[in-house]
Amino acid sequence: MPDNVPRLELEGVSKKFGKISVLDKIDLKVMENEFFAILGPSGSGKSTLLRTVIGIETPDEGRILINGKDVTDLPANKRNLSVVFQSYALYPNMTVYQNIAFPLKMRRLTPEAIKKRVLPTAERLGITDILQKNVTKISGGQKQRTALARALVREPAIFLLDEPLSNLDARVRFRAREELRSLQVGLRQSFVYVTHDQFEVSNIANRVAVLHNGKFEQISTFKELYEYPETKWVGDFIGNYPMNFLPASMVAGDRTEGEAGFRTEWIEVSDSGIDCEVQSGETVGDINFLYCIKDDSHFIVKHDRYVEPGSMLKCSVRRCNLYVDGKLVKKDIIGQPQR
Amino acid sequence: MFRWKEDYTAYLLILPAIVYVAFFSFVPSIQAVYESFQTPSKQFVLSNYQLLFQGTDLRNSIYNTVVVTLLALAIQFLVAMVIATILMKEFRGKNFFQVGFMIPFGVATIVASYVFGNDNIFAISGGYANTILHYIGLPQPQWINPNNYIFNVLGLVIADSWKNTPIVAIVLLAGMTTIPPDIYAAATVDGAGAISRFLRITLPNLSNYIAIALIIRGVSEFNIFAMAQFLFPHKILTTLVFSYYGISGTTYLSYAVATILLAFIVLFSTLVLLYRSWSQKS
Amino acid sequence: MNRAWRLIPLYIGVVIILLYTLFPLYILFLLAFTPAAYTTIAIHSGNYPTLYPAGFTLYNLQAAFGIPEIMTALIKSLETAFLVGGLALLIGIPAAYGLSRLKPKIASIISTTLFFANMLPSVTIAIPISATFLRLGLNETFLGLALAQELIVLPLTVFMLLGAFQSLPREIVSQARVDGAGLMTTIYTVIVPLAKAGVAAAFLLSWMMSWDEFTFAVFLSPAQPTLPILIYEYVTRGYILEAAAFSMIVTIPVVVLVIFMAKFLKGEILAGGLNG
Repeated sequence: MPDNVPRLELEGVSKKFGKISVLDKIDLKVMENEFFAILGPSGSGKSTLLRTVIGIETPDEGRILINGKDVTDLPANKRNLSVVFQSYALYPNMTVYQNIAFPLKMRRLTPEAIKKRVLPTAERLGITDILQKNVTKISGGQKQRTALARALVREPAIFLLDEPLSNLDARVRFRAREELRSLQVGLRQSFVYVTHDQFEVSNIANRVAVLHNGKFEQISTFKELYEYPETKWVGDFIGNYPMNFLPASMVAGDRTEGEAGFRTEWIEVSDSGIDCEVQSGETVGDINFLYCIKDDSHFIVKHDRYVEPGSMLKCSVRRCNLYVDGKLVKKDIIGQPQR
Repeated sequence: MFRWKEDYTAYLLILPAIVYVAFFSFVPSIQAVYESFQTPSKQFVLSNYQLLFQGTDLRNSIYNTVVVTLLALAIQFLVAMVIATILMKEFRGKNFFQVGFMIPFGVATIVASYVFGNDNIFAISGGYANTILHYIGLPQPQWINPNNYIFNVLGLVIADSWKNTPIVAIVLLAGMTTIPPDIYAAATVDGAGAISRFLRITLPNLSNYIAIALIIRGVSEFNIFAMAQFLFPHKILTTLVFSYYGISGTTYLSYAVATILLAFIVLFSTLVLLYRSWSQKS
Repeated sequence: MNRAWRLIPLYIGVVIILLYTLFPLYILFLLAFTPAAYTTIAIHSGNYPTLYPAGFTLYNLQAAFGIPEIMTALIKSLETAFLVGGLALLIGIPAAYGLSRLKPKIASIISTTLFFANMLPSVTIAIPISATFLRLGLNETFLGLALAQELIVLPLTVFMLLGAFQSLPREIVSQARVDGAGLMTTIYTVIVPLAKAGVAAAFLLSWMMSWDEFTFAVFLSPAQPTLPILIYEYVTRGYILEAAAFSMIVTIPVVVLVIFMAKFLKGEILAGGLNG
């Protein structure tokens, strides 16, 4: 579990390119020993955020602190970070060994001291036998490990990973993800993992921050994101299927007009439910996805039976959240959403 | 508190180049302008210019410079367009052609001037150009005879184009490669022939590159020196500067002509830059 | 059949253009290696010279090398060209990298300035520089000549290097910074090694432009000439055949360079970086 010591802090970081605001008052705290994910679709500002943290871009406003020290005006080489880029960014004019040794060489360590640290790191990642190879002549998986080794070889305040798995093929990716997690647990270091793919971090991140239009929509565990998205946008973005929303009002206490948000698996088909019209259906294996409509609102129902389009289905919702103006106001409401 | 930013380092890295250029081009240019208003007794005068405008040398040189520039540009662009069009196609022997057409670019101006000059290709009588014309059975002009103004200009322009067409061709080629091939395919499907494809697709899409190459080459044509010295029995602005420079007592006249040349170039360059900022806006 | 016919106009164009570009070089070879009777003597007596090598001789070349000035001119040309190429990299590499890091607006102002400087006429600049150099004792020296020629070369070198640096993957440069390399270290450990082809091309182009340069050379070093000036002097003095041999010596290395560099000579660079 993460400790309660902040490693990386962003305070009101903003960045504009011309008139377009790419980062809008970003606040963030990554704790020691935390696996933190920044999740956002392309164009959300996540690569600008990463470049700002690294020190390649300078923010227009706000502060960046690493280990409590203000580094906003420090260049990248003085920030003590490690990064693994999507393209791995290996130096093509160097061997695997020279690549891993590069950050140590920049810190003016002696060749012996460098060797003492490169070899165990290479061993840990299982790339000892390719150390003398040129990085242009190794496989994708080996490149990824070399990039990781180069990030691990020194003791940075924080590790930044920019979609480090997206260039791996799907079968290797699953294993690499688990390895990354156990590496982080073993090292007891802070990792910041930037990605557009929620399934990459759903199981391994302690917390996930969802970035949209240069702002964080929500920072929480992935389970929270899934079950209690704080905005309709997050509900839409997270999950295999977008969260369903129906106009509803809550009658307990004061009457509140809003929208009921519920996941597909929270729907039951039962005789006590309300009538919905099935518009179309799709069968995947033994599950049927039925696209239903009720009062101009669409939602998806999972059902064990295929139902012909045009027929009616009685559905009820086990629980739901209430959203007013697109924002979550109440969790876990039991009972039928009503108009 | 003052903090060193990396942008400052970037400026520092550029500084030597800027200082260099300022010291070796802007300062001497200003000096030349200043000296053109001087006399040996260090007075500010306009007499250098008055003297120049009274005589015919300057007027003729300007006229010659303009004629040579316009004609040279016409030939270079025509030939360069053909070369670039050829290079957009795939054919056997393309690699050889690609290197072959470039070779004159590397031949020193002075060597080109010599080979084309009075002693060889464009000799007044019996040069290599006339030998070929003789074998084909065409009349043979006296190329560098000062009485044959048209052939004087032609000789200079052909030699200059020989040397400089490759540059224009690669600039145009760079422009052509930015035109998506799909547009050509679509036009062909729509029934456009080769000529109408050239007029309706290539030319309009190339306009930016053509304009830039045109004005850059135009400025360079104003600066032809060695070749004119060899091949042209009349004066253009640069050779006029040199001839005044070589004679003691007319140094200040050479400064004045140099300033007039500078004025032309600055005018031209400003046009390039204006055109550029205009084309970027639209 | 049909396809082959359609290529005929293309090949006619290719042949005409190659004849135009290669004929003068062929003439140069004729002049250098054919006995004078078939070339200059024929021309000067108003006859038609032969268009084929009617004989072979090394006499012209020998006569040229018999002139003591040729070695000093050759050395001067070489010294100047290497100094120009070296200086171009020394000043050009940091400048190009600095430009690549600045905001596009500011970078464009600076490259416009460089472009503007490149357009100024050598003839205008040469006279005041010559006066200044006379005071500094730099006239007739290869150092002075190189410093002046650098002016024509530097803007082009910067644009060429800028193009090469901008085509490097951005992440590798960022990675080097994160790995602890300062600005200068990044340039020499990562950027230059990765862009070495472009750097070499920039060096060769500036070398070549200095080797060919005439205007500054004639104004700044007329008494101790470089090879182009020597050719000029020999032609004006009437030593036509020696000039042919000198011309061969000047031309061969450059033609080799052009063949070697053909793929690096991009339109964008020769257009003065205006499209960059």
